[in-house]
Amino acid sequence: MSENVFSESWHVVSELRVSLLSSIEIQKQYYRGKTWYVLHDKFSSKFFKITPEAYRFLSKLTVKKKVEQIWLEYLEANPEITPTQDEIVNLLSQLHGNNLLYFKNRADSENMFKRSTEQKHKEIKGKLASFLFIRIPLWNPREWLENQTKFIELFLSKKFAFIWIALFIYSLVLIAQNFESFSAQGQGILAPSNIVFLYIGLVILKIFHEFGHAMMVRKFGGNVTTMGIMLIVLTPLPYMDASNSWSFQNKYQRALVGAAGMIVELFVAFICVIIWANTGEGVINSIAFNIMIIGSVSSLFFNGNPLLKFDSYYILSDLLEIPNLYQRSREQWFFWIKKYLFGVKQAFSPSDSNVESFWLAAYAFTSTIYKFIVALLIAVFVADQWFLLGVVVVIISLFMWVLKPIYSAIKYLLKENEIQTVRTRAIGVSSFFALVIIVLFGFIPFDDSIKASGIVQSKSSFNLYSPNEGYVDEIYVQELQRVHKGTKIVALENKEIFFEIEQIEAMILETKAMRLKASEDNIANIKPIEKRLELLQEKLRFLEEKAQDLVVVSEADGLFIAEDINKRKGRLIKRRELLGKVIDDSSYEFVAIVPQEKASQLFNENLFESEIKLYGIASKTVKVESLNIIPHEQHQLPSAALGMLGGGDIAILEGDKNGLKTKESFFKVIASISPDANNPLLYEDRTGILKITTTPKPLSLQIVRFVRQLLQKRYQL
Amino acid sequence: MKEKKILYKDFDSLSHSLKGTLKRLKISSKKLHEEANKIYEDSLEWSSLSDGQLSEKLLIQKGKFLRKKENDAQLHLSFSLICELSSRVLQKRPYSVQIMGALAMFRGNIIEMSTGEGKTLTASLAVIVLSWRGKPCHLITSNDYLAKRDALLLQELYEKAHVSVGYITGEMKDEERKLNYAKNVLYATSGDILADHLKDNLKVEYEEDSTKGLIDKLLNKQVARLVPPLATVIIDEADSVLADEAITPLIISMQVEDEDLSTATKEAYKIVQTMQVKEHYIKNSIYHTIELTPKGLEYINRFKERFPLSWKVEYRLKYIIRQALLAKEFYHLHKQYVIQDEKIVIVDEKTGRLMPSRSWSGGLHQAVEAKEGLELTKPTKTNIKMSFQRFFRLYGTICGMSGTLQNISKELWQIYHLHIIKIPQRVPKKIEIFEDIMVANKDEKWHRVCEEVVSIHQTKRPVLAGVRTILEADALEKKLQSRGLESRVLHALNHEEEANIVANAGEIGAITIATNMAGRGTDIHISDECNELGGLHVVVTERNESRRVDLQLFGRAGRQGQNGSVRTILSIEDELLERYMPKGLKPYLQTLLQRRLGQRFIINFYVLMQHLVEKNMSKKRIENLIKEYDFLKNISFTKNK
Repeated sequence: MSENVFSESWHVVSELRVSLLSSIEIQKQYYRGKTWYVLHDKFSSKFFKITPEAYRFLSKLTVKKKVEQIWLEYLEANPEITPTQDEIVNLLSQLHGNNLLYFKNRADSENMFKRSTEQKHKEIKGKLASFLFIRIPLWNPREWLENQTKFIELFLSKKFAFIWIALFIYSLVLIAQNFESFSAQGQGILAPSNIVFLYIGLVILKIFHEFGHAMMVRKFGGNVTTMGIMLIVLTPLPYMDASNSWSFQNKYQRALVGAAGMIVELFVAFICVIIWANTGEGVINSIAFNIMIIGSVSSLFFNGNPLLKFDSYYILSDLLEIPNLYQRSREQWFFWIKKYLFGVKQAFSPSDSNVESFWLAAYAFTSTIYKFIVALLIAVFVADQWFLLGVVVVIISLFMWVLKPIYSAIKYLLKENEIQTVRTRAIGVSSFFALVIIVLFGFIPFDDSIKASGIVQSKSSFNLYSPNEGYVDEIYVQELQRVHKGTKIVALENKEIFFEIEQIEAMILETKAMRLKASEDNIANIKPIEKRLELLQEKLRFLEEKAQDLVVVSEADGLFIAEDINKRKGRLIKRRELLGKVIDDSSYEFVAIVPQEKASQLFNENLFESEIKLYGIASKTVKVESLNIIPHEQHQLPSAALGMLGGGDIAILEGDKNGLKTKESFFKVIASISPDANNPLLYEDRTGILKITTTPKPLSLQIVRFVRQLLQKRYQL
Repeated sequence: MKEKKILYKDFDSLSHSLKGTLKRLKISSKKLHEEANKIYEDSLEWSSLSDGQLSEKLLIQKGKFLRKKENDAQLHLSFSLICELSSRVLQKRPYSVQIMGALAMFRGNIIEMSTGEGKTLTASLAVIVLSWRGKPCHLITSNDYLAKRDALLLQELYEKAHVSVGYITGEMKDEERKLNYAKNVLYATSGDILADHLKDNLKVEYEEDSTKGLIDKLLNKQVARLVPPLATVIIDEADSVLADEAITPLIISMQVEDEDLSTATKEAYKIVQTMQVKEHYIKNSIYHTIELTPKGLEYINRFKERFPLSWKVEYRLKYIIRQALLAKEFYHLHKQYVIQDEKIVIVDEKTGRLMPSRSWSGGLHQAVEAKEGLELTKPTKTNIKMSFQRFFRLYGTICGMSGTLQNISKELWQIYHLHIIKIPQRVPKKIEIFEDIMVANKDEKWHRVCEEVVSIHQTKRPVLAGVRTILEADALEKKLQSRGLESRVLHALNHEEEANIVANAGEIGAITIATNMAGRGTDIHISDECNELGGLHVVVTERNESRRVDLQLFGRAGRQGQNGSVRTILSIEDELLERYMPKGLKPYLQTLLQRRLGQRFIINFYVLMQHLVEKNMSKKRIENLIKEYDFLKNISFTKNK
């Protein structure tokens, strides 16, 4: 109730003889346990909601008495609930504004005319201003709908609900069965060649959607009198006016009207799934596919999502019995700020109960965040298609989300009368919070870092090849055993060598005998024999060495790695065959790929300690011992695992089968790490993220840098 | 009544003000001066004409304007003829600056013309030609006395220029008024014309049945209106009439019996006496509001039973208590009101004058009466009201003049589509303005004021000290008395002696203390002897919310090229600072005052505050009007408002 007993403008109405128009019907409605009365002028289809107090006073209005007389009598009888003079002046002027009053006195026709022309001008201006959203009423579907009563009864019945659910399940099954072609077709949904189909699908679907609303209104006995075309961003789409459903007393009926659009839309989408699954490539298939996608996407993310102001929002607002949910949810926060931070004593809560406050506050919070994300996604999506348009979207969003709120906040703080008694405090508190935000974002340095993906590689490894052919006779070491230089690894067995040795030895014996004989018989022959003996002995030495080599020893210190070495026992190993590896596990290195756009950070800033998180063992951070930046651009990845082909996040040049050539150049950073004490091989070949801590910087600078890097990466700016 | 002037809002107002600036740039005061000089020269040539010939020529000119055959040449000719006429009738030939002013006004502007430059004659030049057009021309003066004086003074001039003249004073009966309204030129106060206009509206609009009204209209049986259609108006002291005073609505009301309200008011007063500030209620001195604490609310509920039925409702109970508290905390005898013949008489804060016909609304008047223990008057009930802003916008042509038009050019353009044109001075002012003095608190200020008065008094020059309230005036008088100085005090309580006090204020050795009453229109004559001593010295003791009020007081010194001087003595505790400056700032300013350059800084700060307050008020007046129109549009179901 307003504070003043006497109204400055009371004289304007006090002498009047007014009453409500005779064409007005009044209905009682309940919202959140509160009673309201809805005035409904059947001729003009106007609605106006009033409180029971106002209603009781209005019911006393008659042209037989003057307003003042009625008011005084009413005050005498019900002092507690009599509206104040100001309230009556307001009520009457609002009712008049909605053309719900009959008055017997002479009116200010000039001002009335002025008002109506101004109203028209405003409408035209509004239409011009919102050229992105124009409604053109075309058709009155009332008669047509009345002729369809039987169909509507049949169509929107309980049986229909069962069919709906059955179709829903069936179409899910169909999609699961055809998932491959589903996702393949889904890739090209926004391709230019598909835009026409997308639009046709949208129009078809929205026609069904709108008729869904209209039929539901009709089913519950309401009327739909306007249908037409609206131009959203100059794209014509159908619309209809379901405001008649506001007069439904049952809120579930109102909710069903709101949901009808989606119900029908999804129904059409289900049918399209069936068509799509049973047709081959072609126009019908395309349109069906587009309809089912739009139907589900728009129902899921837009119409079915109460966080945006589409159908579900109104349903939720109605079901929660919180009208103007969006607006009031914002007011709820505003009210808390006003009351608790600014200390405004006369602040009016937009909610009636704590439960309602909770709903409002929660809604404001989630919807704001959701809206913000949607706006951001739309901006990025649009920018991907047409960069300049994306920039425009971003600028508009910045204006709407940042500059405008700041401007209105300042204006509020400086000008608003509501806080005039606490202005100093309000400005103080707001400045404090603004300062906190500015300091938090602009001045307090936060940890900053460069992140780069990479892979662990050992610094040096040594391949163990079999020097000779032979059967594995004995294995001296276990896999992963630490070996040193000279440690025996395996012994091979090669009988041929021994046979050869025996043969040579026999030949040596024979030659020695021959030499003895020759020294006695023919001294001249002794030279060649000696020569042969030499040769044979050399061969023997060679063979003996070879026989020695059958025991393979490690040539370096490290860990011995060989898969399935035990299974090789008794098997033939060819010469130069790989037996295993000896890995120097005393130090590893992590080779990280720093993309171009982050390079300036890498070279211009002080780099402090760094750490590595490895995929699969992310719980553990690996300490980096030293960093080595290779200061020239490279194109060849150290491992295909880092490229997109190998599951990494670095774009690979198209056509490179190995998945090693990158699209853009990068810088390599090599970090040495020591192995895990318990599990020395834990790191080998794992990919992960290297995080190099740099000088802490305020968040604002970090955000700016992030945006710049994003621009550079996505749009090559 | 139709308004032709559109009130632009939001962006429209921006483009409109841009248009205004462009238009103002076009008006060249140099060209105007040349025109005026030419007219003056031409007028000298007519001295050869006989009275009859002059009269005939004037009649021909009138005919041309009546037949709408007017152009610059005709205008120049007419003005030169009237100048000649004036020199014959009044023995005063208008100076070229006066002609310049008349030209500017004729073309629908407001002129800024220093006091003592002969505004009365300037206006009459323009009025004669304007009224030749055949539509009545209203001349707004600041009071009845001036209306009558000017009309009689200029009667001969008008009549010889073939224009009839009349005037309205408050006590005139309807028949007499009717005769005067029928004249071509009418001198009156804005209040008188607006009141008659509203009464006319009431007469017409009280027919409740719209059908009957239509039939009457067809049968030409409409109620005769007293005030003819509003056509042309020339406003003296235009800044006060069109801006400062313009948002206060004129209300036609009648007294109604409300026994309950009287009982409730008396009870409320009794309760309020026992209530403690801070404990039961909190007062806000800037906005003059009262807020009850929960404890206070509980407290008043204890006395609920004493109130009549309709006042037991909580919000009504709170309201009546708040009104009583307002009366207790913010309404002080000899500041906002005085008591005369057992009745509360409101003192206008801007002019310091008594306003016997005004009363506070919403039960506040009764609350103040209860506080003073007077018999409660019956509350008034508004029948119809209209702000002067809206009223003057009804005129087709508005022109005006004033000595002080600072800081309202935007407002005048936006609301009335009027430009301000500065008219150069004929005789340069010889007024000396001493440097302002700034002190820390009120006591010191009044001490310094005393010193100033004493030191000037020793040179035998007359001194005029301007103060804000009656209380201050009396206090200063006592203070001077203690120094052995006799002074005369001019304020609302002794307004009968106004003429006498003003007449003596310029005498050698006179000391006069006055509220803002001695502002506009007060002409303090000084003798030649006095002029040689240095003329009148004005001591200004604070800056008002509007700089124009200060300047009006300044203007009392050095009239018509005489000598004079002004000294302003300010303190940090002055009302303007106390009310609008952030609360914690005062002690800092007081310490700052001790510092070097501190005084300069604080004076500049004071000036800035005043400027901001004034701009803000001007803006508020525009917003007020916009709001009023929006409201009217919403309640267009009635014409009676």
